[in-house]
Amino acid sequence: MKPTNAIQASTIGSSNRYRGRISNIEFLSNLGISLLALALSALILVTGYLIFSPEVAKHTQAAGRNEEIGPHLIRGDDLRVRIGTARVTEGGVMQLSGLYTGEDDRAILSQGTSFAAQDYSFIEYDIRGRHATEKETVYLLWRTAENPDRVFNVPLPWRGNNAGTAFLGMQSDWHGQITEIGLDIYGDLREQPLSISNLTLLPFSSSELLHTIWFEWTAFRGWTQKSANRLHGTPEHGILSPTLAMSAWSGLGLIILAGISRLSRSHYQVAYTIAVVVPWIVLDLIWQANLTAQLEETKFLFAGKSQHEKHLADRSPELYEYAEHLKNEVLPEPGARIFLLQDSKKMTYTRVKAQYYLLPHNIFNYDRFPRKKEIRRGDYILVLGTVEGLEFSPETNTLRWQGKSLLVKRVDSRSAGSLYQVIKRRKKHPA
Amino acid sequence: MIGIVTSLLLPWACGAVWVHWFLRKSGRWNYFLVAGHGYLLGIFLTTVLIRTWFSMGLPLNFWSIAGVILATTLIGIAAICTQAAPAGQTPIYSRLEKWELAAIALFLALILYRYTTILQELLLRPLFAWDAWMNWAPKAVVWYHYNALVPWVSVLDWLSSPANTLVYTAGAGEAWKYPETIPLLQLWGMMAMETSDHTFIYLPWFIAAFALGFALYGHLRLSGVSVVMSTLACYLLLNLPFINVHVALAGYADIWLTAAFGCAVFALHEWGNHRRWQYGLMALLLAVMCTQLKIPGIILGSIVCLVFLSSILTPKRRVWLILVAAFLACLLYVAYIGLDLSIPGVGRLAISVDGIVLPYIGQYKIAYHPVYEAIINTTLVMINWNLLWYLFTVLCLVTVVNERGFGVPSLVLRSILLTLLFILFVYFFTNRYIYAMDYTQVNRALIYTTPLLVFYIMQALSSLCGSRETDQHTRLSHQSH
Repeated sequence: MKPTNAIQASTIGSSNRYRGRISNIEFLSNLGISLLALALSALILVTGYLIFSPEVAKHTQAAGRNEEIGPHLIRGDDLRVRIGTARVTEGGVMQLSGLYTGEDDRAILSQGTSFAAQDYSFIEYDIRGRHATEKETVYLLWRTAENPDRVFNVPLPWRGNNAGTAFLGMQSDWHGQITEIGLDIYGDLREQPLSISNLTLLPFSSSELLHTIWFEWTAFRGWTQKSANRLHGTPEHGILSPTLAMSAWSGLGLIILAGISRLSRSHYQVAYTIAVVVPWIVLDLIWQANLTAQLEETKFLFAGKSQHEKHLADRSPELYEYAEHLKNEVLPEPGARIFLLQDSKKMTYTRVKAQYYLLPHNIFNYDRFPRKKEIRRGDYILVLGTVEGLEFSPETNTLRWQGKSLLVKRVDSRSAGSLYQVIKRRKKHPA
Repeated sequence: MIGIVTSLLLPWACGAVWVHWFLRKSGRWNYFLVAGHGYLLGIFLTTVLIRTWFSMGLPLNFWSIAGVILATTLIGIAAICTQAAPAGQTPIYSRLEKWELAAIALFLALILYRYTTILQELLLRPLFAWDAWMNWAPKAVVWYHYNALVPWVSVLDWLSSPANTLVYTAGAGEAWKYPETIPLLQLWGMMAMETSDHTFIYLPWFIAAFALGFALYGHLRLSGVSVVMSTLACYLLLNLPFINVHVALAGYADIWLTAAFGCAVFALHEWGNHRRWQYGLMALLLAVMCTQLKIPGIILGSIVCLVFLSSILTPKRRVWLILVAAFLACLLYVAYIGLDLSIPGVGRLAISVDGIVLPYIGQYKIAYHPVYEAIINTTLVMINWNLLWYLFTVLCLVTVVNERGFGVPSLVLRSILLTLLFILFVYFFTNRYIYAMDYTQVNRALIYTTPLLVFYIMQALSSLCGSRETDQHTRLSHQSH
């Protein structure tokens, strides 16, 4: 539709330049001033943090007392394999090829030692073959002379390359005389051996602290079930929040800009915006790096797979397989009532995910024991794993719990769970 | 594939056509507004249509429903063609400086990079987020299986249901009564894909974020904010980590409520500034949509209505004083005596110093809980919101200093303050404080304010930097973008 009452562009003439628009040269000037202010801000903040932060001061004083202490190197072949399968390769590298399969798949490699924890605030590690998996975790473990029966640990973050660093000085358990140190590795190696080149303990230094802070900010943090609720931005108990640091950087930059504007009696309006946007983008790129690493992991797990194969590659394949087995081979068409029982009344991952995988079956998913009063003949009872206090007697086809019982037929039984169909309710079992 | 493409584009086209027809009459519109509001209203219309379809006893069939939407779209196109166009303006080319083009390109590249990553994540990963497979998806899966909107009932009703009745229950205690729009939206995707288990079903979550971005950009341009600042606003909002998570790990209702509430308040702003009734009505329509998305949406929808009401009631100072006195008297009455009403057909409404009972929403004990540490952590220390809360706080302070005191807050600021008041009241004074302490809900409440904060920040920044385009220029340029 053509406008009926058009205003001609010519009537506007050159008035389309509005207040606040600046030329390219003016922008470059604003950009320069802003970057200068941000550079000054960064300089002041980093120096101020290293000088005035109480946490840093504590470690600086400790380091000052022990200036002659050098790095403490532990080569891969210095470690003894306690659990798991590993062998020494060229250059003293310990190559871990298999995890011990027990309650958790894990490997433990450690070395007996003796040094004072306060002499070393950082650990640098060179471990090849790690990946952004949600399943693999590497912990540093240690024992102390003061508490020999307890094993302490801290997760060692990963960033996509071999080398990493962690600030042990922040750990409340990193104190006393260290008598044993090593690695505790959980999860899934994905048929790729883990090559442990070395662990290097380092005394406190400002440069190492800054290096570790940056490493923490950019370390990979995969999706968890809490991701849709909160995003920490650092590993748990990180040294410094990147959000806090960027806000301080931007804030001081703005103050410096205000000072420059006042001194030069000029107004750098766009420069103020730049002083906010640049730290914002830096923080955004840190988040992007994490997302990109996550996507690599997601591609590894799911790319090129059917929906069925994706479920098998996901976190609880055994649960999916069990649900598929029940849906396809055991249960009738959806409609019958199923009481899902688990040894916890809470909405656990297993409980909720099992119900999701069993949809569209009609499931009541809130209890540990059957609700005898409400159960009807023909209803199903699905017991995930085992429930303490709930017993099935195959001789009498009876489910018993807390002095109550139900006459049932066991329809299916696997390690993941058992399915029963209610034949009829029984009277209260005599105590 | 044709099914999913149709399910994504057809509601968008239908919504856009009718929004176009509707806003054109106001003489103040642009295509970004049409795309943003159009998608939200189009998808909402689709879910309403599914409900109507089922209530009429018709079998749920994707192509039949799509046919009705197509017909509605064609009627809309015909309506536009026959519409007597209001006084329009000649589009004018607003020449941008090179630095502006570079800045715009940078912001767009950052958005594009982010959403390319998110799209791959969304398409590859099976449904991941907890509430998605606990509370929202189950209804859709069951409806898809039965090809009918089978009722979901409370735990007690499920247990006592007769043997010949098919009812379902699942998830969190109150999940059975959650509004049905989100599962209907999932059902729409499932019908299109002819399966209840596919990642493509969650593509609307991706588009919802873009719709919000389009609406934000369109409204900022309409209110005279420059192209660079409007693009910056989209970058600030769309790249917020917490928004990203709710798109990448799709399945929650929060991104939808954020978009609907945000767009409602943007429309309120336009209504407040230029008094075009179309925008007032648009705000109220989106308020209705809020109530159909999630239970907190009832409060957010009410906030939109309340702010709308405040914009049409302009009582004199004396009337204001009487209103304030009456409000304080009500407050005292509630504090000392309490209010307990049983509203027929609605439920019980009780307010006292010990607790609140709201019909449909729930029952809450009133007591102070110091959750400020969690609130500070989540807004200022964690990475959820980048620097948004810092920027908002600083700009509020600067505005107060610049204006040398507190003026009558704009409609956007009123909406922000009321929403924050609601959120802070819930977490500081009710038993839901535990969800702030463990961070399970607090961010999913704060997310609703984010489009408003970005909109307010851009308005304030543009005023401070003097980069607001003249009204004349805006009127001329908005049609060129």
